[in-house]
Amino acid sequence: MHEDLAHIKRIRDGDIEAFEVIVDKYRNKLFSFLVKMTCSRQDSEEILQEVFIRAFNNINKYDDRWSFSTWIYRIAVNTYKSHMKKTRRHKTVPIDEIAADKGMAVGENPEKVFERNERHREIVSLINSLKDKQRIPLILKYVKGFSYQEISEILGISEEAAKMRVLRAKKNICEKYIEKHGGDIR
Amino acid sequence: MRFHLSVEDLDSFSEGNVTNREKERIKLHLRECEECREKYSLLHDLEKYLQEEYSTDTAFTKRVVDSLGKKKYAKKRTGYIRKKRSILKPVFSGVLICAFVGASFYFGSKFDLLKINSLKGPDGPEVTQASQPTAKPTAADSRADEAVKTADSARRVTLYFPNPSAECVVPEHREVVVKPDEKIEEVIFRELQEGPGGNAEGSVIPEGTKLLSVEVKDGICYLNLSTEFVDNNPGGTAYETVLINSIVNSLTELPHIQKVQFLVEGEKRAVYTHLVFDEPFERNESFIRTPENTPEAVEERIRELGEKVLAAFKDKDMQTLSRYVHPEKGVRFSPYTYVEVDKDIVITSEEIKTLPDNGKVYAWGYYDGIGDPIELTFEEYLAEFIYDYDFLNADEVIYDRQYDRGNTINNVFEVYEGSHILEYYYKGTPEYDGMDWRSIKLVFEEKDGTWYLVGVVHDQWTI
Repeated sequence: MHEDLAHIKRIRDGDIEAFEVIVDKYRNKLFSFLVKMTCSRQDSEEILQEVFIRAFNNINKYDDRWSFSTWIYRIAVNTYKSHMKKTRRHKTVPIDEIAADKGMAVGENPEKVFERNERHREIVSLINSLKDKQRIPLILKYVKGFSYQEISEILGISEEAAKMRVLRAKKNICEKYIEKHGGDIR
Repeated sequence: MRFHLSVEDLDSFSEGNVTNREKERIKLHLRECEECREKYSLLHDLEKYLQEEYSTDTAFTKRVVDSLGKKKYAKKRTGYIRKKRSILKPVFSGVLICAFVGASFYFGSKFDLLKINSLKGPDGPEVTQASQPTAKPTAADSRADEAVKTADSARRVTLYFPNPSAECVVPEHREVVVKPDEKIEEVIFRELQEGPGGNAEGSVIPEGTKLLSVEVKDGICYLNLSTEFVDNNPGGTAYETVLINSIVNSLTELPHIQKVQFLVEGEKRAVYTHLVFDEPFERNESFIRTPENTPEAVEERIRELGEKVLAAFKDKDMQTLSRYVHPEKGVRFSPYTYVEVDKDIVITSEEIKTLPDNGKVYAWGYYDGIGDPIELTFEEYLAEFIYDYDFLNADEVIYDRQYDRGNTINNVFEVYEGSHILEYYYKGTPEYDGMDWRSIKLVFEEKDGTWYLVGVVHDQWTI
């Protein structure tokens, strides 16, 4: 974090290279988060580009008392929301794109790959069935191991609420899963 | 199962935020409740998915920087180096990308081979080296104790790989070379990773799993595996069962290993993703399929046995019969469909030799309808409740299928779970509307690879 601040100071002084360092540091983490949010690499990349541009253009507004990481995730969540509002593609995302990401390795048993992809697909669709109110905290919780306090900072809610929403998200996922597979489980 | 674990319970459990007592309670519950096991594994897979990392391409940063609002904050620093870099960078990254993409096309398919080879260690022996004369212990001088200790030794091992439909494991014998600094368990694990017939596609061990250490103590083999063993598990109870059986059965082929305890990064895990995992696994013979125990071969064997047993009953050849009777459990005689485990007479393989000459009267149960006790000598019982029809020429010989013919509960498949049951059925005559049908069921159970007679269940029309 201290390191981030030093870079930010340099960015404010007009040092593009310092900004490159920040982009390099956060791009894959934010990208992983956005892929889970959008289920699309292309959308994620578009959003991510915008996130960094917004961050760069607003770097003077960044309050040093916050951690830079929660600040940039907050931008990411907001950019994601406005992007989705614009494109309205949220509910019709092709999840196969992500499931297919994990392709078949050479020498891998196709049955295993099939089984794994099925599971993958099911989990993705369970997550997508949640409302953003629960979905975003859940993804934030695991995507980078954020604490509830950090999640509360990113989303502007209380720590308690963050905790509650993650828990409800998991409960909903379990319920939907059991509902669907109830017949197979004794 | 009326109560289920809550998501909170499962969360605290997987994070280790529970008291020892709670932990035990949860483990016990997980062992018994499939629904909670499913939930636990779902939450595990969910977290795993959410933690998966995705990467942008390497040119991303450049694209972002290029698209910045024409360097809002940029000033003064337009020196020679920066200018030069701005030209060089795209060129460099272009070259790099081409090189990378090209390389992955050319070497992609070889990458896995490299990985497999690297698992063997820098100088890991190829299987084919086993045939080299230097590796043969027969060539070694028996006096040269020192040499024996430092030389590679060849060993014959039995590995178990899943069959194509992954319902069971099949043995494969292999000659392997054990280096002096290697443990035989390590060699077996490596061979398992190489797959059946050296075809890695058939290996079930999750990709990238490394054997961190292995130790045998009190007959238990502690197999310490890397986290890929869990992370790259494609999931599914059937998959896990076949995987565990493959490893455990292969290792327990070694005389000094009775059980296998799995450790992941040195720690016991409560649950693999479905199976309870913090206790050692024993060998599971019933999961092994050899040419002798394919379902077809077993059926053939049981049908042969059935005929021999029936013939022995018909001829009252008790000496022969005693050879087919289970040496420990004996054989239980049930006069009607319903098997009364505690009440029906059980005769040992020794005692049966003394029949029918001993003249002893046994209480075999009670007559249907009248309710009188069936007090008969063996010879009488045989004529009335075993070979009361020429079953060797039965209308049907039915293998392992349950028919409810009368109004008596047919519990034979419950009582003799895991056995094979052969039924000889006589349809009866039109004269009696077929109500004079009869059947005799012979129940066979396996012990050490041999099938023995454990039950003789008579059946006929009852009131």
